Amino acid sequence: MDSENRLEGLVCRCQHGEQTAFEQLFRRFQPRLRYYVRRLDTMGDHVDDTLQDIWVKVVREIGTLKDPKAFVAWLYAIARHEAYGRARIKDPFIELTDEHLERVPEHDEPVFTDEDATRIHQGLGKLKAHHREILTLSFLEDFSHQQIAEILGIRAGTVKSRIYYAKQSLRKEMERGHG
Amino acid sequence: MDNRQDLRDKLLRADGIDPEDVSNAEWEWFRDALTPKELGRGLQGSVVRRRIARLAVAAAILMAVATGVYFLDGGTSRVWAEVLDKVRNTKSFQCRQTMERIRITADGQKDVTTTETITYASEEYGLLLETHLGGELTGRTYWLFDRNEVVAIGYVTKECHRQRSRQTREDFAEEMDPRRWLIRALEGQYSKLGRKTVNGRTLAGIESHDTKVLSLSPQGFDEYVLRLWIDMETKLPVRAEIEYAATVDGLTMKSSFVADQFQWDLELPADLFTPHIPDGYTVWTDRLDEAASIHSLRLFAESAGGKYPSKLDQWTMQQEIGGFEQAPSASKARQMASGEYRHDTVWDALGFYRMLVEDGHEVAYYGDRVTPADANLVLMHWNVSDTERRVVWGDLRIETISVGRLARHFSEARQAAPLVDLLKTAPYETRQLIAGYLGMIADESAIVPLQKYSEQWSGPDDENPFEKAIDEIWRRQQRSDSATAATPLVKGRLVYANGRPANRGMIHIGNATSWADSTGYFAMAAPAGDLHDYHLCCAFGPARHTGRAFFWSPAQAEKSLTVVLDFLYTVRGRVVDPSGAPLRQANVKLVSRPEVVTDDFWTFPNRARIDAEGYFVFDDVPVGVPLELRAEIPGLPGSQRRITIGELAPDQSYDMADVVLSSSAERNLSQEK
Repeated sequence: MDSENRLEGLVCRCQHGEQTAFEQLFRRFQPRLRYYVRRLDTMGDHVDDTLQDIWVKVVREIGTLKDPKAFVAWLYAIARHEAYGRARIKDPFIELTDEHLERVPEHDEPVFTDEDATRIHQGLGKLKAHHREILTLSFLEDFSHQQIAEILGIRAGTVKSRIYYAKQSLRKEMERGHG
Repeated sequence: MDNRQDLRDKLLRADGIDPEDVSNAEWEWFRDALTPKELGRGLQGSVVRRRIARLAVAAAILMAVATGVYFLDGGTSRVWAEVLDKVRNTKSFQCRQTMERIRITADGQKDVTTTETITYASEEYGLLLETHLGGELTGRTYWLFDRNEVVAIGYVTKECHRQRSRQTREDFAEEMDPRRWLIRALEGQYSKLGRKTVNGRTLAGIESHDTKVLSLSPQGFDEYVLRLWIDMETKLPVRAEIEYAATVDGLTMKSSFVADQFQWDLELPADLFTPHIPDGYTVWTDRLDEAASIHSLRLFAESAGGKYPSKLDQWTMQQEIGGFEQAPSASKARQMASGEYRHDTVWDALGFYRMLVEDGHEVAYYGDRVTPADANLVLMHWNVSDTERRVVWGDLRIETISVGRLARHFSEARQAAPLVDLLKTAPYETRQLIAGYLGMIADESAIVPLQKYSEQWSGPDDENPFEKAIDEIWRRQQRSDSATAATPLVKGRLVYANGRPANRGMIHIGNATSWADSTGYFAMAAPAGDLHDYHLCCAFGPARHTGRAFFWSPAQAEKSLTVVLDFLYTVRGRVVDPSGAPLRQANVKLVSRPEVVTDDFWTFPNRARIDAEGYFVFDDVPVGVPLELRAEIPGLPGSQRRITIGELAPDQSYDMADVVLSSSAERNLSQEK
């Protein structure tokens, strides 16, 4: 809560053009953005350039952000846009249809904890792009399904089932890697 | 910290990223991509006024753009990096720029001017441009970063212009540094010219018709072409050409521009960058001072029909003075105490104001309500010390007075807004005095700032001068404005502090009540009453467990109202087996009960880690959501348990009874509280 308030304040200060606030914002989000962009651009050729473009865009457009609370999702949406635009990677969600709309059995959803971090990290690299991306988002930030849906440009209902199947795939990859 | 952050940090570390720290180099790499304006300094550097200087900038731009060529010419990013790296590591360069301008008048007359400029650029000393016209040296312009000065010597006019340059090396790099222009070049549209061999060297070139590369306005150009060549062996620019044609007021102007004879990393002596002003030359300066600012305001008022600029920004000033063309003519020469001359222009006030803002002088300006006729109103003021402020009056008298006296002045003139401004910047002791003045004269616009300082008051409550001022304002306004019609509608939104809508929250204004819809929006009839009658209002989350009280008056009815509700609860508990031993391997999660849940409520952290003692904590759990805890031992069928928690009461933690799991336990759906 406190950190949420601080973030909001930081975003407001950035909207008023305060440089030190930009620096703080940058230092706070750059590491996780780097992780995210690396997951999108697996060749890793353009990560630094993409990150720079993302932040330039953030600086130029943060004034247009109406609700500072929406900053984090907005930031990832920009990151995604820049990454796919620059590297000309195919957006893995564009061609997917909502193939899994059946009810997801909740009690069966795999749980991933920080003890498994190294295996999760390795497992992510083996997943299909759309599974890798959606899980990366859900691991990095406290996003709601609605927010993830907005970032990825898909329906909110799809997010839940896709995360479920992505987690199943990840668990399989981790078990395979382990065993 | 929560489970998600732990996981995130470890994932980052697994990828070789430090989650806590970003190197300064990384920050600088990002910062370098921004213009000073974007960096929040909010100011452009000094205007490049003299043509000769503009030429230099243009040449540097060309040189810089040229470095972007190879990348676009089908190279790999490795080669691109090499070019970038080479130019980045360049400490000095020299080149020749030739510019030919052809003016064709409506009756077909041709007028040709050719200028040749040699540019010397040194990272250590600065930049020197030597201009030749018809083979004769006509001028030298020096950009001296260490002295923050631009010196232009004209040998034909026997004049020297000294300009304070607000540009630092970094700012200047914004215009001159290849790296920035490279980035811009990447956004442009190019076609390849292929490769050619000149004097045994292989050159690669491109051609662009994109005016954006040079930040030129695309309007007004009949033709525009840019060609750039780099040497494939050295990976450095060798030649740049620009041709353009434009028609202005029936006159056709054609220009061609060539930069060539580049020499990179050559030794340039320090003396080359020392301006020598011959005796007898008239020295002009643009050093900004208070006097310049006063002259400037007077000039503006004379040119703009007896009014000061309503705001000190370029756009407003241009509009008010009747367009940009008017402004340069409003300029007067003045000899300064130093013996140097300067042209006072209408823009000096703007420059001076920006300088005060930049230097943190808490400057306030009231040109929107003060005219030259208002000799006794304050036009502008800024701090000179904690307790004293420099004041420019409506008739442009200028003096230094204490903050207290200035506050008294505003109260006597019944100017509330300047008092509110002063409240924000005054020293602590003076704020109490200002609060008293505000109470006497101000309207409800003063209440919010007063409330801010009221909260900081550390003395006895009944002596709080800010509260007293607020009371006074309310009392006075209830007496007046007694017969104002009620406004028909109050609209707004109820949200939690995390930004989620307070779906089906409730709001009371006066004796009226309404409920928010699923997106948090509400609309209701406003209570009848005086326009400035403040109502005590309250809003609640859907379960009434979080609420907020606030004041509202019908005068605010036109504005949309946003009420933010708290969002902060903690659920704690422990998972044990029937013998009371901790069950570290169990999974616990907190969910909102399906019959009420939409995806919107999935924001709270719904998984918690169980520590060695079996304890778990869920932070930041929302109010107004019926909750259910689900626990299980993975791989043990029948161990699942669901416990209904219900909706949480505000501002407290919820400590659950121990959650007992056993493999043989029957699926337990009973509810506990």
